[in-house]
Order: sequence, then C-alpha cells, then structure tokens
Amino acid sequence: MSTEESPPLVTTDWVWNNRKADNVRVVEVDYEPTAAYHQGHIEGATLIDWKRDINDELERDIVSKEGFEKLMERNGISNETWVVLYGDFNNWFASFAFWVFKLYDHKRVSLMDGGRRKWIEEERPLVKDVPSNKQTRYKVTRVNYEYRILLPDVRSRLGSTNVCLVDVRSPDEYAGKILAPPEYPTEHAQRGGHIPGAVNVPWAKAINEDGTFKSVEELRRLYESLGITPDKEVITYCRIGERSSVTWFVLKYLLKYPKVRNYDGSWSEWGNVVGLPIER
Amino acid sequence: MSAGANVIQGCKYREDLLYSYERNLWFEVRDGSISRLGLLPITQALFGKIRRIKLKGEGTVIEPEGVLFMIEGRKFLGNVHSPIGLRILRVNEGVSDNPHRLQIGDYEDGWIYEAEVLDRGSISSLQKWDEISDRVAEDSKRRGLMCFDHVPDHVYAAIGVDCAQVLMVLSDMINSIPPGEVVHVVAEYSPGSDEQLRQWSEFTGNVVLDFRIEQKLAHVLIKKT
Repeated sequence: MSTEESPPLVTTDWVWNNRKADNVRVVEVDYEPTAAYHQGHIEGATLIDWKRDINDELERDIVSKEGFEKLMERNGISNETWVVLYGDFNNWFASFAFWVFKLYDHKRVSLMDGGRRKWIEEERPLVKDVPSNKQTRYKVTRVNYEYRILLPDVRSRLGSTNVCLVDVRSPDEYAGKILAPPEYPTEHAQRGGHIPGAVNVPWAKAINEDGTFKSVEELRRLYESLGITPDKEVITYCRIGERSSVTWFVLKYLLKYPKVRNYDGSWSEWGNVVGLPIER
Repeated sequence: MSAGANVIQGCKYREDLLYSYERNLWFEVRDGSISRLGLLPITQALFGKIRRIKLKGEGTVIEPEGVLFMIEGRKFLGNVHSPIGLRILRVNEGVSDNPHRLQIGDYEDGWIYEAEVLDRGSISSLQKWDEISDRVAEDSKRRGLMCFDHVPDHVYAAIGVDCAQVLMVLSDMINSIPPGEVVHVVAEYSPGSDEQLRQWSEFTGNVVLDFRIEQKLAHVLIKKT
C-alpha cells in the first residue's frame, strides 16, 4: 500500500495525462456548482460542493469525521487514492477542501495549479457527464487538530511575540472600510477592522496573473520581508476561512513552515463577538 | 428600435438574424455568408455582467465546436464554442474595454467579430427567430431571465423582506460599492412601494434606472451616484 505524501501541486498538463489513472481521482470543488461543475468539468471529475459537502449544515463547523468518511466513500475515494483538487474562484474552495483533507490526514492530495480558470484558458475540453463512482471504504485514523485554531486559542495568543497573525483579506476589509462585499450578505460582521497585531498580506499576492502560484523564492521573499518567518507560529484568517486556506497552503506546503494554523472562524466570527479587541 | 424587433422580458431580439440559442450567439448573414456575430442579451441573466473577454485575433480559423472567445462574467467563467466553422476577418476592439456593451442587445455596435463562414452549407444549422421564439419566451418566463439597458453589477434578492428593511439593506449595500455601479433589487411588489423608493432615491441621491413589475415581483435598478 503506497501512502507516500503526494506533491502539493500538480500542473494542468499532469492532470491531462493522469486524469484516468486508476489511483487518481480528480475532484472539482465549487462555491457555485451550477455556474461551474454543471456547465462542464474535467472528464472523470467528481464534485464536492463546498456548502453542502465540507461544512456541517446545521452548526457552523466543518464536516465531521464521519461525514468526511461518507463523503470520500460516495466519491469513490479510498485512503490510498491520490486526490487532485481544483475549482472555481482561483481554487479558493479547493484550497479549503485541501485543508480539510489534511485535517483528516489524507496523505495523497494535490491542488491543480491555476484551477478551473487555467484549464479553461488553455482551452482544454470539459464534459457534462457525471462519473459513476465505485463505492469505496474510507477510515479517518488521525485528525491533525494543529492545522486549525479556534477562537479561544487565537485570543490567548494576542500580544505573543512568537505568534504571527496574517490577515489575507483586501486592504479595505483589513482597515475596516468594508465589512463584506454586497454579494455575501451572510458573511457580514457587526464591526470592521482586524485582529490586533495582524499583518495584512492579501491572499492574491501569492498568485501569478494566470492563477498559478508564484515561485517558492518569490513567496519566501514576500512573507519573510513582512516578518512572517518559519520560526513563528503562523495563524491565517480571512472572512470565512477559505481565502486563508490558500495562504495556509502556501506557507505550510509550498514554503514548508512547521507551524501554520487556519483560523476558519475568521472575521465573520471575530467581528461579531462581543468584547473582543479590534484594531483599525 | 428597428422594425421586426421583439422584446422578451426586456431582452431584445431581431427577426432578421440567425441564432444559436444553445450557445447564446446571434449571427448576421449577408449575401449568403456570415458577416457579424455577437452575444445575446439574455447572457446578462445567465453569465452576470461580463468583466473580461479574451478574443481571438484577426485571421484566426475556428473549426466547428472550436473556441470563439473566453468570457469572465460575475457568475460564469468559460469558453464560448462556435456551432459552425469561421474565419475571423475583423475584431471589434472597442468591446474589450467595455465588454458588458455586448450584453444589452446593441446589434449595431455590440458585435464581437466580423467573420466569413468556412462552409456555406453550415449556415442552415443556425436557427431563425421564428424557430426559437416560443422556446425563448417559455424559457425566459420559467427561469425568470430578464434584461436591462444597464447590466447590473449586483443583485439583491429581497423576496419576503419587509419594504422598510429592503431600503435599509439597500442603503448598506450602496454604501459598500463604488459610484456608478448598479444594483438590481428583486422584491415583492406592494402598492406604494414605488413611492417609498422614489422618496428614498430623492433623499439619498441614488438614481432609479428602471422599475418593472414581472409576475408580481418588482425589479428595480439603482445606480450609485
């Protein structure tokens, strides 16, 4: 049984050549499947709907361990499958899914660099047929809690010099000038601003114009110049935790920082809780 | 509007053009060949306002099913494929800067390519207006697809929301967007709400561009000033 870790990134070319391999499962992760997956997807790709599949629909939380196991089995994924994720909105939700896969310790998972956009820009074919998935068995044997951080632990780290908070939202959100874009009325907060001490590095600074990630050298320069260094515990956050999982991915898997945690409660939690300190 | 024009839920169609309704394209035919092609205004509702269009260069040959152009709308990012083979003769350069001009049914200036057809016989696979008009009307009604003269940047679906609250949320939304952007509000129509809206507009200085009632729902277009 081969459960070696897979490389964090694969290219569109690699996916083109390997999309039908037995041990590979291509998965599209969308915020809006009706405008993306259902309009056409990579041949053989199955769908993970961010809202429905990797979130608990009752409580605000990610999918439970049991829910994740069922989701994997439904999508024909076993513990050994090499899962390749890609999606809409520059892989935002595919990155969120990557984070959830790693939380539940799935070894072989990669992001397709450039996401759905790059595949389309390269005029590669898309199909509408939904693949039939063979039923698999899946068991989560370990949960990597250290990849996630919850509000009380963020709070207790305020002011600590060996912790670095990275706010990956837009400068206007960081400065408290906007709360949430009008399209996302459910992501509003009562207050605008940022967590005290947080550094603002918009997620997109790590991305080239074509949607692929910048080189490791460029990324290292970007984050280190802002004091975000591997000796610190780094906490990433945004509004609902999806853009921050892009930055989490960059720091943890491309730059290989040892301690990076995604605060998925993010601003839609911090900016709504009574009595938490805020900086503008 | 020229003679032979049809309007379905605000979307303008012309009787003298040919269509590929599945691909949201119109074609103008002159002397037995394609001369111009463009996007149907119904793409306002399907794709959202187009932010970017990636065009092919002059002289490009596009095989049947080949990619005509890539569009990036508020709701959709993808390639539009050609139902027939074409050679591009001229590109309407002006539309790259203002791609939403392509979505308002401006059949005079809102074309994308001037082209020639590779195989004249393939023109017969395109649809005449009277072949698709019933389907377009039925589809547009059932799916609530509408067109406006200004393509909205944002949609606020306020169905089931009390009128005073609609105006409150709308004010918040308007505050968070740049001047010039347009919000499309969909709300249940109640008598007197048009007057309240007029007062709100007078008070805040934002302009009501359109007010329509379709199937008991009020559709309002407001431009931030």
